Amino acid sequence: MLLRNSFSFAVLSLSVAACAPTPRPEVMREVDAARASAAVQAAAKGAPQAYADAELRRTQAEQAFAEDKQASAQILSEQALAAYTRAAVQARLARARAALADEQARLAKATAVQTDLDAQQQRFLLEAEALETQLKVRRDAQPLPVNAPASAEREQARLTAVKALLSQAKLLCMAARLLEPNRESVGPLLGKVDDLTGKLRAPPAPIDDAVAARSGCLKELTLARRPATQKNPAAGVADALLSELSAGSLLPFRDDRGVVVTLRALFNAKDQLNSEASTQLDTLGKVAKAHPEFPLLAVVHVARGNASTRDATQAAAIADALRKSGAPHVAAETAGSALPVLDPARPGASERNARIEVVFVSPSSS
Amino acid sequence: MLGVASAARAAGPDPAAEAQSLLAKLDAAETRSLVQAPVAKAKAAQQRAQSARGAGDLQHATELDTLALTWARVADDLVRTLESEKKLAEVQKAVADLEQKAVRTQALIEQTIARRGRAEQNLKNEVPAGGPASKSETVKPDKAASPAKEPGPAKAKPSTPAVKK
Repeated sequence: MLLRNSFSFAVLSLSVAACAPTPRPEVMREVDAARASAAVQAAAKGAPQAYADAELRRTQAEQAFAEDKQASAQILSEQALAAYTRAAVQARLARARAALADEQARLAKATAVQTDLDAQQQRFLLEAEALETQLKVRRDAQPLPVNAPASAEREQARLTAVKALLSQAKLLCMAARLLEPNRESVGPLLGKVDDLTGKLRAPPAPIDDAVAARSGCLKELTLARRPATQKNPAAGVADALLSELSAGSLLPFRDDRGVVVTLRALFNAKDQLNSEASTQLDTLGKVAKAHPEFPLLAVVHVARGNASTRDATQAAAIADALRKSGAPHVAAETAGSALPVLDPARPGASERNARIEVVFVSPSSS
Repeated sequence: MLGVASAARAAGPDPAAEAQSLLAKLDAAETRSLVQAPVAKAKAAQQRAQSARGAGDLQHATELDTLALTWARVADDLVRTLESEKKLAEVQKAVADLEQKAVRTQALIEQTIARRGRAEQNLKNEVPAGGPASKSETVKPDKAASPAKEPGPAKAKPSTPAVKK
């Protein structure tokens, strides 16, 4: 009886197992999940052809499964999964391409706007500069104000200013003469500077004449430079020399005369050039030799008082040292204390104001 | 059979050769790391196809070749997508830079207009050429010394900004 019952149970189990549906492969569930994803749903619109291909493969996989072709159902499902992935990628590609087209259009527009803005900016700048030039011309055309005699204090201040102006005038005229030794108009100007220097003992200080003398000398220097400037307006020779000297840690600077190197404490107690000074002057002399178009002007400045014969001797010694090092054209001058760097009343001013300026007179205004 | 035939049609005459060709193309240093996953899947499908073919199962071998080709195409599309996205990022940056530059240029234009206005105003306020000198601390020079009156400067015609927003 027991055996019969067991046999019946086995038959029943087998018939249940035979009627049970085949389980769907895991990949088919993955296909369903991929199909429901947002990326693939978006691909239905963004890449309809690729999406349709994926749908076809999924249908084929379902059909193969229904026909109990397990292996084909598996492979076709995998194909569908790949095809859905491809549809999503193609939709992403389509979005990127559309965005790229938009951005390229924006870029073209932005480029056009920028070109227009640049042109506008250039136009306004030219207009502003033209107006500023007109203004400068008008201001320069104004007659110089004539200074009336003033209070004793002011006269004293003017006297200091006149000394400085006359010293500057002389150095500018000397620079002009170094560039063009035969320039006729420089001589009378230097004579005028000397005359005015002689009038400094008693007030009123000839401030207007000193201003005119400085302007005259600067004009002569400009005119002496004009041929070289016109020959090559964009040469920038002084800038090039400034760079060269800066590279040698000589701390040069530029002024109306050209490129200036300042030296200090060149002489020992016996008024002879010390070894460091000789080295420095040798370096400068060699630079001058390499740039023969820049004549040298050596100027001795002292902390206090007028120029003395000792200053003149020192200036001559410096000029000699520069010549020995190869500088072809050298002139020397003493400026006394007319052109201080610091207010002489300030502490430590003497050390700064007593100095030697070696000026590489610029041959061109460019 | 119908499914296999249509998939093979979509894949072209020889999906195996096409897949191989695409995979060879993608095996470049600059793309290798970008398409690692789909290429690996394509290669795995190729191996399965080879095994099926070895076992004489040509139908499934063809289906697996098509699968390999589909993954290879995914990889190929991915490369093109990444290239486009890279280019897009570059163009977006260029646009952003240009737009920033436009803002700066606009500001510069405003400054230049103001500078032009100041110059214009100063020119109006300026004593005409040959006019009297400043009276502060001065006395009039000899009449003979006064320079001849020069003609005034030509009137500048100012531009108007044409700003595109």
